[in-house]
Amino acid sequence: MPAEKNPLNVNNFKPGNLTRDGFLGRDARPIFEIVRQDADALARCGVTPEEVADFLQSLIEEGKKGLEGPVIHGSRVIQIHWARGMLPCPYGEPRLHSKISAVVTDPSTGLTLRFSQLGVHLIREHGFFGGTGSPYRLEPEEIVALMRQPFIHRKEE
Amino acid sequence: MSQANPERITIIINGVRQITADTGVSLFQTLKTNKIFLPSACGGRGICGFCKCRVEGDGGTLRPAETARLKPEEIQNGFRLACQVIPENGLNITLPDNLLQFREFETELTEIRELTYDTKWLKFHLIHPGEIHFKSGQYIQIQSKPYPGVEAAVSRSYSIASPSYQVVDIELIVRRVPDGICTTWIHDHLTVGERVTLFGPMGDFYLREGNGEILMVAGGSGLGPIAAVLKDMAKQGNLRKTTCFFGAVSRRDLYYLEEMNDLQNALPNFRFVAVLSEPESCDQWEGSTGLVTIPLQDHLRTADASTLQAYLCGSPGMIHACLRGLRQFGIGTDRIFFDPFA
Repeated sequence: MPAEKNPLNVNNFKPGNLTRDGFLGRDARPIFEIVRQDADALARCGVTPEEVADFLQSLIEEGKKGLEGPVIHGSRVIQIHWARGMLPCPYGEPRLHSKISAVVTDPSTGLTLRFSQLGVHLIREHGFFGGTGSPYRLEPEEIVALMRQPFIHRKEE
Repeated sequence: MSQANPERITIIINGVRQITADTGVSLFQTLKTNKIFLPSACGGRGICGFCKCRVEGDGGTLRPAETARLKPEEIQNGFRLACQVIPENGLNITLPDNLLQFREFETELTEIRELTYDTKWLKFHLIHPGEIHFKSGQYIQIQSKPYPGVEAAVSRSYSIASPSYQVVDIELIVRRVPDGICTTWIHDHLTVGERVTLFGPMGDFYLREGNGEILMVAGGSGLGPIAAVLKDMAKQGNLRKTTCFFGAVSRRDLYYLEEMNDLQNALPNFRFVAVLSEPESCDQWEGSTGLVTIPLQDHLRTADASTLQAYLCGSPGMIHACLRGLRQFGIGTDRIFFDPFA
């Protein structure tokens, strides 16, 4: 991941500033260190942040079709909550992001992923997966496992 | 209007209103101190870009946050972000007239009620000023207070759920947003008897004149402002054909069914249709099922689309889906109304 061009306003990442719980959780590491270690983990899996972001965005796009109801997508169930209003990026960029949160569950593996539209942007543009213990933290290995899982059409019950 | 390093400066707004300000304070904060509230999602930190206004005079150097958020033509026409302008000398600024109509209301929360598991109805009594004048369907901003884990106060917009003839109280319907700063405060910390500051009214979501059918689509807390519009119509004896679709996932998301029934009795040409996308077996639901866009499309097939007006209030996802459906039937954006923060 390239170093950020502008100095970060770390306050933007703290709870109660842009979001209620912030982006760092209980993680005491500097932000650049969180990004670096997740970049290493992702590299070991042979996947780029852009590929992860594309995958998560595709899940959001599927979830949107349900208008907040659950959407069955292969073996996964996707449900999104899309609130009115927009969120700015804690890195201070000009773009605003829709207040979309997504929950993806895979009953066959028991895996549940919870992420946001802003989180997809943070991964794509900044390689930031969230601090450990933050509500929208995504473990790179978990996402990659979900990405690699074969797409299985679930039979109608 | 040149003053050399003054401690107090003069800011003229729209050529008609004059305020004085301390130097070294952002224009955004100065306007706020003078009860002029510019839209903002970031509280004046140069992130959201909502607080733009036209500045004549020495507003100081354009800052990186502005070059990133303003379009080149806006910069060329003198637009700045008020939160980034720290005037050292007098200024002339231009704001949209409607921003000057906003007022700050000191209120007391007098009643709070759970409508569903994630949606609350709140009633605020106006203390100062004691009355509000607005159009049914408009929205207002509420200012939260700090609570454990959240030190800053934020302002968020919510549609007014009471009709315009109710001038001494304001009702809001607020649905919990996962991890939302303001809705967490409202749902978990705000209590009856507390003083609350509101700003407004604002917004272009209100009933337009016309003779054609009125089509309303609501989701989540969006039924609040739509009910306000309908109550106004009932008071005025409005006879326009009106249909309201209310989309929800299951029965536990529904509310205001009695109110809608009363409105159907009060408005002879009004029909209310609740639509559940995923009714549960225990719901024993015999009404419409599927996504709300399906009965909407069915309805549009037999409606006179040439004069129909559509009013949408709900989640952005629902609004985008409805917009696609309405456009397929040739209903232009000049006859489709929804809030810009959707």
